[in-house]
Amino acid sequence: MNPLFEMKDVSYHYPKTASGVRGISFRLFPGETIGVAGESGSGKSTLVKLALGLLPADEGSITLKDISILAAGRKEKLRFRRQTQAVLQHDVRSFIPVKNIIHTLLEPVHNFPERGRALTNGNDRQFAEEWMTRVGLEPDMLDRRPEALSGGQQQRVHIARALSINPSFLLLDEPTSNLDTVSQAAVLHLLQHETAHPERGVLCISHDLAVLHQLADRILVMKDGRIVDDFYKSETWNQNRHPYTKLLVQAGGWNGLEDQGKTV
Amino acid sequence: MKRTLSSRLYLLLFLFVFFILVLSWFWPVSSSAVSVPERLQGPSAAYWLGTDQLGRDVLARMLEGASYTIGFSLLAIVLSVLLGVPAGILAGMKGGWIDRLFTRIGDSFLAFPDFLLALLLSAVLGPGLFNVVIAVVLVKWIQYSYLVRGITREVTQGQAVLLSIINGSSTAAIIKAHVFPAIRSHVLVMSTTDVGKVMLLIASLSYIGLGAQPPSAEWGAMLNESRAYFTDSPRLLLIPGAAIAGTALLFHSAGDKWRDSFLKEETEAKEEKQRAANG
Repeated sequence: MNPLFEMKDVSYHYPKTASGVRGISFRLFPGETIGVAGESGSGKSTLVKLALGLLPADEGSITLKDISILAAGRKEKLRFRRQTQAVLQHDVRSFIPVKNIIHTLLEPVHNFPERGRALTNGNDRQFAEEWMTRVGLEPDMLDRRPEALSGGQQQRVHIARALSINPSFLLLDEPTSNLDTVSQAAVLHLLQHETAHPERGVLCISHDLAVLHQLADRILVMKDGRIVDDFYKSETWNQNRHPYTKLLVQAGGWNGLEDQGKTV
Repeated sequence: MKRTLSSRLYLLLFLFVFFILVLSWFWPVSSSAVSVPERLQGPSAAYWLGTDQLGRDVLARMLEGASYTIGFSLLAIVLSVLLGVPAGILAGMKGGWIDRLFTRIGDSFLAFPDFLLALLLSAVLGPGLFNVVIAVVLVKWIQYSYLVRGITREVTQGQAVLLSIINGSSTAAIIKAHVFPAIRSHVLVMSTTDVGKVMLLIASLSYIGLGAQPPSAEWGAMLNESRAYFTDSPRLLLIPGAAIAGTALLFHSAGDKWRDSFLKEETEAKEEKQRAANG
């Protein structure tokens, strides 16, 4: 099977600083979810921007199916955008301003009219309402301003927006951060049940190994801009894990879960 | 209650200014008809505000002057906005060398006080109201583009714009959906406040002979022409002087008031978001 998304020897470093990423390589297959763990400053955010085609890499290649993202022209880039979606860390200003929720929710459908029409059957409103219900929100919230929603509700709208266009590549960047504990659990639950699709690859970035453990099949650990560990979730507690991974497992306060993990 | 009352008052005042501008177009009495025997007369039934040193009707001249002084100020502001806003958006969105070049030019303009620079430019361009407008636009546009550049930078670095890019929005769509709503109220407030300032600038330049030329009845030029008659007919200076000060004050305080109400809305919106974020 061909990989859906691939990074090969990708390096990028910010001008005038030592930060960035070096020699990143991994393959994401359809139906798979890869988690990337690491603390702040480990290069996670750079990886996100590179994967979304928002930064040019210094070296290496990044491909989605047949599209080489680094060499893509305008048309190719748009073809990449049409298949790519992201849910980012909760931020109070992540919606289209002075417009109701529905405008943000339907943005991808409007921006990619051909794909959009096929999905909505010409009834945008009903389509939006169905997605609101699917992510556990009241359909009449569509006519409210984003300020009127709680952080968890806002994240749900973003999940609906990202999934509504049925992307082949979905990137989750700290999707549960900055939320209260109850919302975190609810959003995580939603992601667990809604993101999987046999033709979709999901890349989930988080500092929280526990979150990745729930969402991902395979976990990469980043430190100082490099991937230092790469394992399937069942191997999390192997003795030969990288010392840094062990540290992250301990830091997550996971001692209670350790026994469960061994039995998985 | 108090707020709506003063809003209505401002609306009335603006309607009054607008009414005067319209009136000046249709006023039947000529502003340039000289009648030396009737010179320097006080207010009467025939001449409501009296006559000037050449026997011209002061009311007709004041009305004509309104269309010059206010009209050209508005023109200068509109041109400054049309020039400054796109430049600010461009610099704010593109960054890099475009932004650096832009800020270099901007800083060199901002290094001088408005009046000094406008004085210099209109002296170079030569006397005339249109040249004064050009000078004012050259001074003012950079202030709008700095304002817009700052807001654009802040907005485009935010997550909302990032998500719109990921969702395939074009640059034009991002400007329309994210940048315009953010700059709209700021530009409106600044331009309203500026009408007063620009009026003073144009009137000052006309007063020292660089702006409107005789027999144009621009208010600043009227002040200049009447200087010699100050002791005998102080009315000739007081009327245009009061008109300049009053109109400038009106626009300035209206801009201030808008600023206050926008700021209030913004803080309320922020508090609302904060509450939402906290649960």
